[in-house]
Amino acid sequence: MEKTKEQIEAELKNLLLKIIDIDPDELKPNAHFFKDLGVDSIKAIEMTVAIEKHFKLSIEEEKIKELTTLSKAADVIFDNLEKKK
Amino acid sequence: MINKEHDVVIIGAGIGGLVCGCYLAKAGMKVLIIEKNKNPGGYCRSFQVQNFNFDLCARSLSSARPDGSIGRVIEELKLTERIRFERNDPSDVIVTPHFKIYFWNDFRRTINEFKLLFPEESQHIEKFFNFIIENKELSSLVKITFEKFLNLYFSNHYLKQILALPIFGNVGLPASRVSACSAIILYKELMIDGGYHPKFGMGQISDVLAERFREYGGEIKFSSKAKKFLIKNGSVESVQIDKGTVFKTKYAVSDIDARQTFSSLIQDKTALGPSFINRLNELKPSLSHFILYLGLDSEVALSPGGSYNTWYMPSNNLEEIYSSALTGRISDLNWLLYSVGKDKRSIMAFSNVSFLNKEFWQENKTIFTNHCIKILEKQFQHISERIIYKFAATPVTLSNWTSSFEGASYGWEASPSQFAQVGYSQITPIENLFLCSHWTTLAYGIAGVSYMGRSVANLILRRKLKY
Repeated sequence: MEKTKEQIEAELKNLLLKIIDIDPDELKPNAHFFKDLGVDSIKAIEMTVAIEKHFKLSIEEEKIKELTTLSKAADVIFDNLEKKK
Repeated sequence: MINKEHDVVIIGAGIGGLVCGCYLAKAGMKVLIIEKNKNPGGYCRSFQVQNFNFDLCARSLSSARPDGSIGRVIEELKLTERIRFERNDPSDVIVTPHFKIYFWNDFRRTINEFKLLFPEESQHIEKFFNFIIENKELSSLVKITFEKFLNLYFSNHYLKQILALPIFGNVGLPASRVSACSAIILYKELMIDGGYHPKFGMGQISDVLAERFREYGGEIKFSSKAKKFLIKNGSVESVQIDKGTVFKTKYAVSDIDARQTFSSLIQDKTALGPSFINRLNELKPSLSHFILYLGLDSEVALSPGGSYNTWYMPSNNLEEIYSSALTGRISDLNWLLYSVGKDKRSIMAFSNVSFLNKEFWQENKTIFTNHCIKILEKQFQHISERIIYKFAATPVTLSNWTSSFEGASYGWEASPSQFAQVGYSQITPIENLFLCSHWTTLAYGIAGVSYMGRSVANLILRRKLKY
């Protein structure tokens, strides 16, 4: 069954909470990982690799740059999964 | 015998384990560290012999600025008064047959040195270093090698080899094999914040952290080796040590190598799953080191003054040197990293080598010692006649000291395919088991493991709040 964007966002939130040291309430859809949530370069890399593995996809270099908020990251994942079909 | 329950049991009192333990104990958790040696620190120790002071393996550190990985830990654990760092300026120098390049504390000065030596690449040098210094977001480089990254900027082969040398010396891989992310993180630290050394040697960091950990109420059991994690319902329930004692715990942290953690300490592999074990067996460890400690009867001349890291690079082919290191072709290993102590009479020389096997090092230890002294002769005339203390550590020695898999110096190999591996970083398939050493596919050096220790402590504290 195909996942909706909302389902992807919820799954992603759970995944990211395992990697970054923040309160679940702080991980709002539009909170900026780097500017608002204090994600550093190492955590960002871990997040990218974890996303690719969890959702079984490969994100292009250009698209990786768009992984800046929960909502935008869910969009990138959704589009990528759509293309795979 | 079952002891009282702990909140956290940490295996290994390396820097990662000590930092992690300090934060957790500071937050009020009951923390126990199990350490097989008599002293804390792992590779980060110092020793004194015949009035010579040597560091065991880790020789200097970066990132001691207030917002750097070490600086932040020192400040948050209120250790500023206890550790005085001295910063060498220059921190590093690369010596080739044609020129020397100094890494100054003022990184603009370093960039200008590169530009003067390679004027045709001047603009690219500026762009390259600006990217390294300013860039905070590296995820888009996660799949590429440092060689590919260097090729985006430069065409001069020699310049690329020179730029790859400190990375080779810091993670043991040539540009064609090292992940661009690892290389850029290391370069940034080297350029903006390298060359620190505690006044009383690297071991001072370990001693001060262990002392602080105890002050926060933590307990360290030295000369005790962890035997196994007892797993129940996918979680570590207790840790058994060699004396048969069992410690019940809510969380476990491993600051030792990942092979031992998952292969030996966890006997019931159900919670890990077959694909995890298969991948674990595929992961490659980094190279090890041959380290030569020399004490001289008189001072050596250094210019400009100070005890910095010298990267002696007579050849322009790191790929060949790497291949010689892998196969043990000692006569071809003609590069060395050496560091002269503050007394100007003690010298440590390092060469990246492979573990190979015990017999190889029994046969070749003396041969390699003499080979290294011959290389040092080119820098310091008649040094062989001035040696009054000499000791060599091979990968077998390093493996005995820390039990690190094959004496690996930097945890897992820092290749793109092994970088930031899910399940092999801080978080593992075992719900309450975390990793915090350089065996996390993410971090290298003292700065890296300090970052890991702090990060794991934060993860545990957040989970504790959640449940």
